[in-house]
Amino acid sequence: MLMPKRVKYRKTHRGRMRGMAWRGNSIAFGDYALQALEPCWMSSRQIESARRAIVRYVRRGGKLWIRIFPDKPVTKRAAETRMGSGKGAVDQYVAVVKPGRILFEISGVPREAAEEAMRLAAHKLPIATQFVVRTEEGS
Amino acid sequence: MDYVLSIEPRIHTGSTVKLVRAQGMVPGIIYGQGNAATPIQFKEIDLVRLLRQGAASQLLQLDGLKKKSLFVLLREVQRHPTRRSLLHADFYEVQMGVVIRTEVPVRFEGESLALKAGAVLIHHLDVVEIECLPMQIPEAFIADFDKLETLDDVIKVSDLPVPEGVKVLQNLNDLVISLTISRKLAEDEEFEEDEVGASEPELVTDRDEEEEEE
Repeated sequence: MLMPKRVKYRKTHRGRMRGMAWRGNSIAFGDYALQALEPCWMSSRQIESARRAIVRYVRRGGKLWIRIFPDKPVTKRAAETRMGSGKGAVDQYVAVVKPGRILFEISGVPREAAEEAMRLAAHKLPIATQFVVRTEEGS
Repeated sequence: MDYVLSIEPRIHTGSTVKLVRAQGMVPGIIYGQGNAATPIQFKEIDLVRLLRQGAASQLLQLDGLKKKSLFVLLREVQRHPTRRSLLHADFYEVQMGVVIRTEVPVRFEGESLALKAGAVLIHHLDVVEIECLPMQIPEAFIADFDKLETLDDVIKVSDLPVPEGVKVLQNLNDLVISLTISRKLAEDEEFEEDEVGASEPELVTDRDEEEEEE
């Protein structure tokens, strides 16, 4: 699963997820992509699960790009412990996703295969998504 | 081909620009040649049609202002992140006799043996930066796929046919297109299921940073 190799601080604040993804909202590498329509914290498990769904479907070809990286640590308190005694231990890493963010890109496969692969991947994700296609004028 | 866009002067600026979008118009601005920036507005469909015709890198004629006609280049188009509708456009006014810098798209033609054999295309550059007179801006650079016979073949900026009077500003060794083999499922399925807790990220300490600085 994706996670940082080195971190400067083990735990971070939660932050806010306001607004849209004004960067990383257009296709950069592939021909087809999956775009987020809602904000969420996407865990490395969810990203890996979606990636597997895509790779499993387009087993013969294509190249896949993952455009998000789970670099935000999420902590969790141990079960049945009292409040206090500091922040919990790091439980998982998540990627902060805002509406418009391109999640996965794929190329080298027919449109139908890409569409079906992205549909299967979307079922593994906690948010609504849409399938997008690269065009010259960027629309 | 002449690309003509009808525009109107815009009164609403700043946060009131929402009113322009509510009327179905798109706000824009014209600047360049030392003139004061002029806020304008235009119908979204008009510019979308021009973009579909390939006007993104071409000289546009703006009609509708007091001046007879204004020749501009589209500098930036802002779009909504999910709907991809136009939010704003920047137009750069040009003088016909003065050399300008702009970006021209790369289009692809021909058939590649390697692609037919199952290789995957990787786009490195969609546009190439050039310098030329406004009337000499090429519509597009054509990359010939016929050259891509094996996986090691690439198309560089230097391989693109450049018309006379056009100077390419991009590094000539920059890749435009390269090929790669497609992923095999077998390699991916061997992905190990490691728990986050089992391999925690290494913490960057002050000592590490000092070493890096040295």
